[in-house]
Amino acid sequence: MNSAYYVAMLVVAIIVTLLYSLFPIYNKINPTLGGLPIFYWYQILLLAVTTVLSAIVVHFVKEEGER
Amino acid sequence: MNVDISTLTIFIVLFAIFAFLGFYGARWRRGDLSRLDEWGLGGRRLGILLVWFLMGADLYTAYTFIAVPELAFKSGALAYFAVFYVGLTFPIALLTMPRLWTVSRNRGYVTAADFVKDRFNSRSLAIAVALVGAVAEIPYIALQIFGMQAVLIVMLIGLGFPPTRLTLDLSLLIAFIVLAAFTITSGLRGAALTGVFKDILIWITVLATIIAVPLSIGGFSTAFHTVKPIPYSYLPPSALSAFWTLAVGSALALYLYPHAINGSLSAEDKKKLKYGTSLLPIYGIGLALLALFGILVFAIKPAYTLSAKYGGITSVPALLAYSMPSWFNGIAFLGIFIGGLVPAAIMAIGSANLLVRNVVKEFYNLTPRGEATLAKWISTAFKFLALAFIFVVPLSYAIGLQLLGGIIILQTLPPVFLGLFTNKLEGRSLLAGLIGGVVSGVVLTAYVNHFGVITTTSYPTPIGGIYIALIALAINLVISGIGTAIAMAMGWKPKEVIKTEELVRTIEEK
Repeated sequence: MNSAYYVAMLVVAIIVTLLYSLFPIYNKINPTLGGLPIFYWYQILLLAVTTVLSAIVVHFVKEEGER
Repeated sequence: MNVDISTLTIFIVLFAIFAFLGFYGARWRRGDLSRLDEWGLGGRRLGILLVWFLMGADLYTAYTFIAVPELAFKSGALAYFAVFYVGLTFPIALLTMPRLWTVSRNRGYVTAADFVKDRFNSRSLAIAVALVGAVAEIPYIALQIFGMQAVLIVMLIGLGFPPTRLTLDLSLLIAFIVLAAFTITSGLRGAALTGVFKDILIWITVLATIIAVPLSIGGFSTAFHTVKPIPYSYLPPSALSAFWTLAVGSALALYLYPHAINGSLSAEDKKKLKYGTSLLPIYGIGLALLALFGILVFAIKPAYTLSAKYGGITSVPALLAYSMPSWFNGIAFLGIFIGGLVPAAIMAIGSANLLVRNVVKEFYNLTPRGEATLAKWISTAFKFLALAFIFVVPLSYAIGLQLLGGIIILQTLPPVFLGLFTNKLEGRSLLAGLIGGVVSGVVLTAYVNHFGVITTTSYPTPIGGIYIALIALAINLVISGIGTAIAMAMGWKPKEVIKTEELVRTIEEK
């Protein structure tokens, strides 16, 4: 099977979408971080989470013929 | 305001160096490229870092410096759809670009239209994909001209020109002339030297700006205390659907743009493409912080007054002008200026090449010389079209230009992205879907704006606004699906022109 990489990456895309869709968690002001409402810092933090998730898939789930 | 003759001098000197490198870069291209190779070969890590560095700077265009901060200035939290969009777009790129890269390497494709032509055995579908790609770049180019204009407005005002209609038109004229001249002199071949110089300037601007400006005005608390909580600190419930659909629609659209596909296809190998792309969401952090400038500007009275006058497009340059030393503003303004200039030139040239390669050449035989001349003319025509766009769309809504491009380009998703995973879609149905999607997208946009100037790209529904790109895509998919079902019922079978093997791994030539 060659589809493991694509399935894993699709899961990452879905997780990212879900995390950004949890409005009740972050669509508000408190807690703030350095004066920044959670609405902003939560989304910035998610960028780092997205990077880590994508990099993990790229690094550990290889396609056929990839070293 | 910290804009004076030293700002102008530094701006002009750096621009002269940039233009010089662009001109001579073409001659030194060979030597320079081999040096870049050595860098890349210096270690696998370094190679990926360099790819990451070069690709990342491409994210910082007028969209980041001007359009998103403008939206934050006017609509507050809604602007952060761009952060969600950047977060999601790279996983989508990682799902599609490795396959497109592989099949292009195996079969010598240069554009997405080349791939579509073979995949669905349809010349007319390929021509449509190329046309739609080229047209979708026009508003994106217009946005870059807007960005260049915003910097010039602030600089002209700082140098003593009164903030009037004249300043506005003069800035627009200068921005346009510089863009046209740059595209013609830098030629149809991009120079690696200019790219590196541009990227270094952009990084200096981004890093110094996002660190120094919030510090100089006392962090974010001051700014957020001066604005209303809704919509500046968080979204009103009525805006959630617009926020979500704008993000998802834009994320699906980005890697369909000819310039983004071009960038991915030029990667040296699949591994570097994947690693480089997976690390790109980090860059969104810079975009996210720059977006906040649209709100930070409320904390500095004169910068706010200036931005309010121009509907927020000057948020970033105005904030810089009032909080950074004048010499630094010379560097930063040039960074933002070429941050619009280079992408606009690349997009105009890319679109022209696409039109010549996938449209004109389908009908006429051209000599290589004739091809280049034609592409030059078309790329110039494109810039005039982009300028015309600026007169159609009100100045207070720069981001609308990019969102309009998104509505159009997203309609190529079925043949390009779905085509990477299946050939069980029929060519003529895809063409009908594409046309249906583009027409419905354009008509709906005209309708919600009462056939006048474009101020919104969302369609009002009972659950809130929905980004028209997604509605048009749904129409497109329904047409493509039903058409394919009818074709299948009438005995149509997919032709396997491209083998699955060719989509998944590089096949060595024997």
